[in-house]
Amino acid sequence: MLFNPLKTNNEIFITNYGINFTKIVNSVMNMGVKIAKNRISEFLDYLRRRYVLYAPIEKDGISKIGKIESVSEIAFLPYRTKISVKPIFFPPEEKFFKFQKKDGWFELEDYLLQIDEEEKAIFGLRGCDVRALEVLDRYMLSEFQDPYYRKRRENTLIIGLSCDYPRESCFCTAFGGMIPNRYDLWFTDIGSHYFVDIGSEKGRELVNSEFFEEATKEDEAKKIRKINTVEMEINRRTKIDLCEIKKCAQEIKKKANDPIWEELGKLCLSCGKCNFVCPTCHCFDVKDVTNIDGSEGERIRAWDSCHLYEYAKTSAENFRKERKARVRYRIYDKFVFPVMRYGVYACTGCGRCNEVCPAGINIRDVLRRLIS
Amino acid sequence: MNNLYLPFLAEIKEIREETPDTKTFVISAPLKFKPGQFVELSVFGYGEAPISISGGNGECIELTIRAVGNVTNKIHRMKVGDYVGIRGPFGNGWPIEKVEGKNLLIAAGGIGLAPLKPVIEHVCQNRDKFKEVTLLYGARKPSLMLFKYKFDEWSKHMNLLLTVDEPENGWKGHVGVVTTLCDKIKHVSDTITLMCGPPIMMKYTSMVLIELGFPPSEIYLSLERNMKCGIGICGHCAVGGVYVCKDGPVFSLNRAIRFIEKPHEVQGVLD
Amino acid sequence: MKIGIFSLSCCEGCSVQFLNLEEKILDLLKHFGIENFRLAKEYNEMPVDIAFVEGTPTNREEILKLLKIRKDCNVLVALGTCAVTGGVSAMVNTMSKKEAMEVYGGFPPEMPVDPKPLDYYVDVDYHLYGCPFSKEELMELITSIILGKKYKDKEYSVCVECSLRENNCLLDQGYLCLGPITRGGCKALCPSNGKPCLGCRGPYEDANIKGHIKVLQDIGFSKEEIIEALSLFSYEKLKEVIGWLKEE
Repeated sequence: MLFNPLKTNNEIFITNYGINFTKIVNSVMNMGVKIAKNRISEFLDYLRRRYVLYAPIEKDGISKIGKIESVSEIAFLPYRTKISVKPIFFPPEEKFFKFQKKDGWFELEDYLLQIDEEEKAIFGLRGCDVRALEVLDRYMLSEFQDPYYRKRRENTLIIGLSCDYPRESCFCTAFGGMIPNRYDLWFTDIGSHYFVDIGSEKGRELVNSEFFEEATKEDEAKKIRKINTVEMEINRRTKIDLCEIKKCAQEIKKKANDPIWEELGKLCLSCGKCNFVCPTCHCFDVKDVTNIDGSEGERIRAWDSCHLYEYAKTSAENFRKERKARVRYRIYDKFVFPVMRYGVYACTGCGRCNEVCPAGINIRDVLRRLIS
Repeated sequence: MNNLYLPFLAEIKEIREETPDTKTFVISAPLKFKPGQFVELSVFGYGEAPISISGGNGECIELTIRAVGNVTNKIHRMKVGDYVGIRGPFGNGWPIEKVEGKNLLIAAGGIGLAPLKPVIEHVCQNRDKFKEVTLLYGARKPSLMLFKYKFDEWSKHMNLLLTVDEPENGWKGHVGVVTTLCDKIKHVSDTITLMCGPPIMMKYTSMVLIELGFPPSEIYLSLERNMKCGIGICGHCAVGGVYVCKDGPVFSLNRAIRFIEKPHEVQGVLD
Repeated sequence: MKIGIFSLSCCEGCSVQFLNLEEKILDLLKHFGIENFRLAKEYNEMPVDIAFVEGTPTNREEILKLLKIRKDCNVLVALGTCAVTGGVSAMVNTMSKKEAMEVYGGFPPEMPVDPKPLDYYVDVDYHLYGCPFSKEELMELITSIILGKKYKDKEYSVCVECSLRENNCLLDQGYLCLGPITRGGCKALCPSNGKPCLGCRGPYEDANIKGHIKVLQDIGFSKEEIIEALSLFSYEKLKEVIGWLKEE
């Protein structure tokens, strides 16, 4: 691995945020295990019976993470899903509460209480999405906690999977490669078996089940070879180096008046797609929706996008009227502001924004220009 | 789990007309707040709006509101005994502790006097803790000035400098924008400035104060943004890497001019 | 409150859409009397509080009718694309009079006035976009009027709602889709059903139209194809940019 932006203050992160993560075990000290591919369905079924299982599914050409009723629904893709894991924890539309007028008084019904307290297991997450969850945790669970996010996020077991080959737009190697450093179990395809890294106590409990066997030195070598091959392929396409996080942020910060923003402002269509597919974008709008006479209604939050015209509008002024200011804001909010605040990038190199941008704006090219 | 998005219900206890478009609502909310903090005011069915607290006594808070949007227009149509929702208080508030033992300049424009009123009241009650105190207040017209009924009392404790842009019948005071009064301030050194008003007023007043020798690190401004959540998550109030709702709304001028994305309120200051 | 629904030149699809409200119409009738609705009522009265006007004037009589409606109502709502942008009728403005006469076979005998958006003639209080308008937006507007809220036009594109529905992008598949420049609010009805956006809701204020033209050209669409697509519903609103594209 080249570098991991989230490595900093990992322990503080766990205690501060109070999320019920299992304690990290030092995976270097433990030889991994492996599981034969023909036993994987059995293992997943075992998981499904113990947890509410989520995994990649594919429907009408759209792959995403979904709830699994039967193991046969799982799509074993060679790379990340098209839609990120974000909607599982932070849905596009969330009802906060219901209000009802009663004799001049309002009765409030908090929908938070209706969110299931389930123990989730997510199988088949990729490094980009796992890192994105860590970034989201920082935004949503810092000094003020988002209760709706927290309730979904708590008690989630993460069983990751290395990619077999990258998508065209991927560049996770700029952020530390395919394997993040927080997970419960991590699977890597090594031919007849999956090599399994153990990342937590809970993960260790799981591999004590009958499906796993001890891995050999050779298996581990195979895993490393596999990871290296894929990461080299990603690197070959990416050709950006963002390793020195503080320095890069400084570099980008200096470009606040660069002509690049003018150029991108002309291209950008302000469609907001990059925000919606981004696994770390978390902006939202809050609105009240009522029945025709206003006697009852709901307060709803819905995803918002910093590219939209009305995003920074107040009663007095629109603070980001110009498109170029909005384009710059998004790039800064990925690579400068979060570095200043949390010491991490809010980008994990999933490349989804490159994939969906109708104007063909490629964040890798933008970064290459900003950092050169 | 404490749900920060869930407002509590609060009754409107009293309504005072301040100007033709501004009213003060006394709301039964037992909140401890720092001067300069704000609450998220809910009018169910109309939404939420961030409103700064203009006074309070531990049992009630006062909100001085101008009718501009959906929420504020609706609350103007509400009566005593009606219920609204409150979340908060949010934000950092004015750095009053830094002012103690020093001179204080309070500069306000229009509705910007509302978040400064708790500071003025604090000064009146603890006058011996402060040295020279000046209140500089400008409004478009005399009839649009807030809290006029308080001016007599306030002037016992501090030097009041008032100005209007357009005089109306009976106005004998100064005419002109706030900056035209700045040279009447008698204390420059050892002075902390607390400022709130429309972006353009804060921008030009900052410029003039700097010219008069007030150091930017001693000037504090309160920024207005579209805070939807109040807790630094929704992103709407973000400017140059800070969240106005939880890192602000009060920033020193020194800090605000160094935001990566320079806020409109200070654009052109020290450029 | 009294409401009236009025038709100028159009297909009257928006009137039909009103009837499509079904059970919500009963909700409406608790608050409003429908005083004027040619499609559904025999006796029609004026004045009304809210006038919904569909279509666009295409002759002098209709202009007078529109002016009279404006005089006799408190709130005037431009209902549907024809009223908002001139709509399909305004396509005739892309042709010379001679061409137009050929299309219409010399009928009507007297050349009618150029179809224009309603706000060319009168002050319009609210716009309901779409061909036909969206029922949800109509209910939103009516609720806003009852509750005394401001009703705001959506200042974002169809793409926003389309990507929230997790659709496959039709531009990626090589369709001429006008989603990125067309005002949202329809919940991306057409793209969600595999049909590219034709732009029936017209462009929104902040739309980057030149940017989208470039995108379409990069996909491989010719100038003529793009002009035709832009002219279908919004010729009157996009005249300038269409002229620029022709020159280029």
